[in-house]
Amino acid sequence: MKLSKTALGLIILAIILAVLAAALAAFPQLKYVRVLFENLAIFIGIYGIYVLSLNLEVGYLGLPQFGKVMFLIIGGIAVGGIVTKLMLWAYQKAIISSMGVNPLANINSYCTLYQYQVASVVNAQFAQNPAVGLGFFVLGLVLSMALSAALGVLFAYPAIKLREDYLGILLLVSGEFLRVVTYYTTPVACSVNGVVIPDPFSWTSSGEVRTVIYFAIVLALLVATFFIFDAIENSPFGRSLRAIRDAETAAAVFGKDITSFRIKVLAISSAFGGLAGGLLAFYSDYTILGGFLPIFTFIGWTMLIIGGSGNNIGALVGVVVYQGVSTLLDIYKNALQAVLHADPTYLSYFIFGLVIVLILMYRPQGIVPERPVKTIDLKSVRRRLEKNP
Amino acid sequence: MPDLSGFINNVLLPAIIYSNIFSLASIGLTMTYITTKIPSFAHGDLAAIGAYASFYLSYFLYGGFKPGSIYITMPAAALAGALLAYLSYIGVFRPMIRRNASITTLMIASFGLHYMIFGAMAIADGIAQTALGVNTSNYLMTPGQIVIPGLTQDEVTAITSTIALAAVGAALYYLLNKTKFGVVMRASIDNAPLARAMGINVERVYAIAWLIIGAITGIAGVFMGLIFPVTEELGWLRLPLIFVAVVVGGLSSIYGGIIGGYIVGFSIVLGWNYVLQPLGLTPEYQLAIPFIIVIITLLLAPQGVAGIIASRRRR
Repeated sequence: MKLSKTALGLIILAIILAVLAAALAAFPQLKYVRVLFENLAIFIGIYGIYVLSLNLEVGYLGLPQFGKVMFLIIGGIAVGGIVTKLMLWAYQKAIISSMGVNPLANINSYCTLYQYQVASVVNAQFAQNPAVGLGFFVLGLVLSMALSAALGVLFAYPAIKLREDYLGILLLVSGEFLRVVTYYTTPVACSVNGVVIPDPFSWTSSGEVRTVIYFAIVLALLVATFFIFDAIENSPFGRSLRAIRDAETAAAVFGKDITSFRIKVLAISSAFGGLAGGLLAFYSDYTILGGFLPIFTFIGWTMLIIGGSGNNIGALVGVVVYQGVSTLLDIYKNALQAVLHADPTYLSYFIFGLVIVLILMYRPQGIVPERPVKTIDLKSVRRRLEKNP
Repeated sequence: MPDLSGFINNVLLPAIIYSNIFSLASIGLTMTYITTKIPSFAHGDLAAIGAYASFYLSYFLYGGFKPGSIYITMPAAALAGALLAYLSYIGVFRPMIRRNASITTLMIASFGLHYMIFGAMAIADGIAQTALGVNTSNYLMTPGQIVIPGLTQDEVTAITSTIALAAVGAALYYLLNKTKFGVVMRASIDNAPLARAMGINVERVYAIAWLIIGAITGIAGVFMGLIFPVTEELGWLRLPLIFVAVVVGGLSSIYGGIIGGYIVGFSIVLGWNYVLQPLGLTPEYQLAIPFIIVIITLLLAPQGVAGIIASRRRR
């Protein structure tokens, strides 16, 4: 029996996940470990979407997206800054009747004083109306995607026709610009206090159920993202991207409009980057925009390069490896601190920096190398031709 | 002129100091770009290692900063920066360039290198801090500034940093235009294949260029330590602004770095004093000003100011 490599990769991933699940079922008493695994699984899902979208830009088009973190920020703004305020407005009456204040009247005191109380009032409303909670969730994600697509293209626009180095520098600076400006503008997302996001799943009976539901949603979105990107990348559009990446001038000579490809890819990838950002904000119920330093861009690149860029299975393998290793480092953090006399966070920076450099030098294709585009094979083309000559 | 001294102290002196620091740092980044075509994300770490070298040497010489000690330790800062830059070229970039790595690949490698250096510096500093029992992070190097009677610290810093920038600029001009090595280096920059055909060892020229880059940036790091607290993030936090300076000045010319450094330095100080402060905004918004400048540059004149000057001259 001959299996396609995609199927093989998916089976390996499924086995890893199944082993993790079995380990959880076998040791239910290890609550701490269980929480750790739940977090790990959900983060793998969210970062999976993030890195798959990065892969279209980096792996397929060779676009130096050094401002990827901006879509996590935009997700935080859309969910925490815009849709949450919409909920405050919608439940104004309930909030005023239970607390005696209108949060939208004075954003500053809302941010510093009673964000958590207001969130619990909104959560109580969601508990009675799960449909509204879900609407809040869907609206947040849709807005994240739309805003990201628009801003992703807008921020890249000044350098869209220039060489890749100019574009990369502009995107890096744009990410920092967006972070600083939105962080210090209090009405956007409460600045240093961070913004508390009501829980769209507050109608669930327990935290466990919420986690399971959230994991199912993230997994479903990850699978959908995987197939969407797989379809894009194996279409004529995707083949053009590889052509542009490998020989830009030649592609231009054959009539490929490179600027228009860049804009389309940025719009699609940014939208899915925003989806990851929205999911991250909803999962934590809280977001602080100042925390989205350029390291989050680098984490995405690290995952992609470890796994193998230009390959979706590789991208996912990279996410699993990175999250697995960094979780392990988290567990042994205290032990390391005692040995090192230094913050072990820096050790993980050092290790991932080293891994990136070594992989680029000795195995640039990553764990799972790039494969040829899936095209219809010659046999089936012949068969079709024989049927309808 | 009622408020002249206020203008000098709050606007002119900070603008000159910032401009000199960003110019020194940008010269190095422009040089990495015109020689080996890498907009290196590890560039800021060369400045941080320079500042650390100055601190640790002062500590072991005097047990701390004494007036003028940063100038005594400056050769060590230059040496530390030069060694680190040389090692990054020999160890990481040269092997990758030999394999025809693309600019994006080199950029991401420099990202990885940044995190390696950054993490190693933080860990080494943490270990040293425990071993020595002194606080080694978040200090300002101002006590190491020389004291000139009758002048404030800012005035001294403005003068010395200007002298340093002028000296570096003059030395580079002499090296590139008056020495045989300069001719070889310009040939390697302008047309590497032809230079190679003429028997020039281009890789060796680049290695020496990286030594120079590291030395200049290490010195820039010492001056940075006079106005920003020294941590492993000293250079990294300034990197977006250095990139802006380099792009605005023009990626193609070494002296573009100086022009860009001055544009960035003056725009953030003037913008803070005359736009942000009157509007009641916090200083963090300063980043918005160079960001707007870089967007205007990319839209109107992507070759940068130095590029405009060069094309005018050619006409």
